[in-house]
Amino acid sequence: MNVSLVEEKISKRTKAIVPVHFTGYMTNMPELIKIAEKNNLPIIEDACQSILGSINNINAGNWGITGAFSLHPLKNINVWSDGGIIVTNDKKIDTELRLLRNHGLINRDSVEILGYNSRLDTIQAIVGNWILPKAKSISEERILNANFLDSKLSKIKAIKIPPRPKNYRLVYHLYIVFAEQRDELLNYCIDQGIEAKIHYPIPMYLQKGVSFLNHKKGDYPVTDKHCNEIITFPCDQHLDKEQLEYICKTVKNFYESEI
Amino acid sequence: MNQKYSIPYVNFGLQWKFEKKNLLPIFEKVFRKGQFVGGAEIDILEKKILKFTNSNYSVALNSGTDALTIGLHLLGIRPGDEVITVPNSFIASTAVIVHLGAKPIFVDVLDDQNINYKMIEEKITKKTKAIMPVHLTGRVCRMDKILNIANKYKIKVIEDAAQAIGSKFNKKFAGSFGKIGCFSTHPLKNLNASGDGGILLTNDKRIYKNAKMLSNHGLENRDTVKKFGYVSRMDNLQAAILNFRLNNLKEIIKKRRKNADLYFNNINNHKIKLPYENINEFNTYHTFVIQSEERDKLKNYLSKNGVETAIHYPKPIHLQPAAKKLGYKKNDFNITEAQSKKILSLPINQFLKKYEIIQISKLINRF
Repeated sequence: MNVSLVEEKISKRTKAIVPVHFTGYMTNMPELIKIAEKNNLPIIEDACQSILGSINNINAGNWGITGAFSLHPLKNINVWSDGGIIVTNDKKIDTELRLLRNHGLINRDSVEILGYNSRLDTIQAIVGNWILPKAKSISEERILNANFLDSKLSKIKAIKIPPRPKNYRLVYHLYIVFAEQRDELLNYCIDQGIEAKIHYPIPMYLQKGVSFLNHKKGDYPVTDKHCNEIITFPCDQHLDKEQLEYICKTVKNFYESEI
Repeated sequence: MNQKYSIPYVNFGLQWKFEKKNLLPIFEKVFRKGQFVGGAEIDILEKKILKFTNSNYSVALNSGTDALTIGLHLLGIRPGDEVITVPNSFIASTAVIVHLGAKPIFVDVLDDQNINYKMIEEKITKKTKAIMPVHLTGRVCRMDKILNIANKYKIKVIEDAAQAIGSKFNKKFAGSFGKIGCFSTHPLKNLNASGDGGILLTNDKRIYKNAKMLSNHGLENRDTVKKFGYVSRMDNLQAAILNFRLNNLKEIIKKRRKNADLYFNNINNHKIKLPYENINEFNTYHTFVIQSEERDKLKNYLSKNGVETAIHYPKPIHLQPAAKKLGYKKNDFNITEAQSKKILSLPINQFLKKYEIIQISKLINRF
């Protein structure tokens, strides 16, 4: 989120700000908090991809009134089904959330507020409890892998690495760089056995599902530009050095053979 | 509360004992494949379940509650609409209506705890968009009457069949009468997963396709969002467990019906009202609910004698604190309120032994 564009969108009806800490790279929270406080708006962090990410040593999910994490199988800290966690420092919200997730039941027979059926299964909690102690080392391994990829890929002119601010801890749920001739590179990598991907090729504002919001192409030019340039490479903790080197070599080969 | 019962209401320990040998390899198979969300087991379940429903399509979901939500959404229920339902159900059937911005219009029940179809018509207004009968206890509502009314006023029917998989009325399966039918596969249900789960049924291909899409974020494919949806998918693991247990569902229902017969033949106490089955009904006894003027005393007495019972449900929905805004008050639904003080669910699960049911019956006769 380009935090400098937020204030002009605030109206009388604005009730909250939901920054998305996309790819494990947090939104500029120190600046966003200033705007939120000035306008008396709560922040709900979508930290689904950013568990253990931080800015100035304050973790994702700790900046807003609530923070949301996903435990989907593809996430850094995952269970073996859909799943999620909300964190908050507000006791009242904590109490209400516990009611809301279980039909609003304050005990077996009394419904305090109308709620949802949004409980995490015990089996999945067991998986989560097993993987949670490894969370730190998982994110550290991903950071090491990303640093390695950065160091090699940054030497290729056609590849642009996103900024890596020193006071941010980037946890690389997705390792994304900007690439020239992205589509050709993507196909080439896939041909060479690398499962590269695009997260995501169609920007949200152009999806059919939001057509009622009447956005048109070009409304978000930076998003559009990114859609054409982003490519995601494997970066997870199970990769060995040889595989990482193979990714870098393949990308290099692609651009060299193009000339 | 932590009393150890000699006859518990449910018995997961025994279920695990009987199924462990079969279930462990199933777990391993799912985990080894690493396909947790979506996957082959889901497809198999969605086909297999049709045999117990005589419907054309089914969608496996993360809960019976979300099946109702998605069902109502697809029937076009929007803010300001009214949905006719009952106040003696589990809270979820009302909550889903309210969360969509619609208004639940309650109708009282008959002595069998199901909706009083004779009172539906007077509640229909211009805003009425759907009727949601709840097949409580595993007994199907008078769907012939309800469908007549729905057809007359061109209102859609969505069945809350959470407790009624395999139940029949006039030889037709629960969940297959309305435009949409919803099952729960919660651990306490006759067909149970090892976590929350649910299934949506329909004969309408468009509803099927849209339900599938809505349950998966509205994604048409990996990259294209057609409508704003939910994340309400059933896990592949739960589907695998259900596929195994579906093989036994017929047996489970048979056993529960046999248990009910044992109660019918052995309880002989004029102060106790037993449930009954009409000739055109096939009840699956998710719960076996008796009625007694001295319910609390009876519950206590059974408890002291080692028999665990339950009450489904002691506080009607319209009297819950959460329902305050709906504007109902005490005495609005006399039958529901009276039943809530009399009903008691006896153990009926498929793991009970014959002598246990006879023992419970004898205790009740002595009461």
